[in-house]
Amino acid sequence: MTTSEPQRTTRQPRTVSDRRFFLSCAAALVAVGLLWLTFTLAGEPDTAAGALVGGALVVAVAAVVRWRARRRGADGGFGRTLLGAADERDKAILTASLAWVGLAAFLANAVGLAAVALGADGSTVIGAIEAVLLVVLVAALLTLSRRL
Amino acid sequence: MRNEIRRLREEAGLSQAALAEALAVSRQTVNSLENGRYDPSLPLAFAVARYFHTTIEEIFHDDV
Repeated sequence: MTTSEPQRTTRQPRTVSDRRFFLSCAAALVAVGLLWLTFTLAGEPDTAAGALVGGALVVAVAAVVRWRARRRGADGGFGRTLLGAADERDKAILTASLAWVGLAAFLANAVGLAAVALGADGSTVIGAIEAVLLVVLVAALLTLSRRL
Repeated sequence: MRNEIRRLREEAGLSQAALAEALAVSRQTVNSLENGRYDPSLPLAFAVARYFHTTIEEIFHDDV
């Protein structure tokens, strides 16, 4: 075994181009706009406004995280993932986190169905499930990035 | 899985960041590899072995 003169590999990390990122943001905003239009036409202006603000906020947060990661260098797996420069460990963490979200979705939906059957408000239950899944995703990302 | 990455890196006088850059992974990934928290994919294991001019068997050791 020799350790002298380690050789450098030529692989470079891939990054998501600005064009692809802007296209993704534009597609997300179009989807949010369609949601807003659907709720507005259905006579639910408050829900439409909520969907518009919530959707626009998510797109804005994604843009800010990407901008910060670009300026300061992506030191976290989430930033690298958003920049498209995730390595295999980042992808493993994301995959495992999403698996936890999938499992939590099954359980949350079961609990939600039971809650609705017992008289809980449907839209409140759906909102709570979304919040639970978001919390599970963030917790899983944080936990797994420390463990892996 | 135990491995010799930390020893090889230190013998080569490299920082984790430098090794990470050479292997096209993050510094955190190198740190996780060295601490045995993360087992690399076969392509990454080959890249590490190639980088240090040795074999996978010389670097990675089964725990059992």
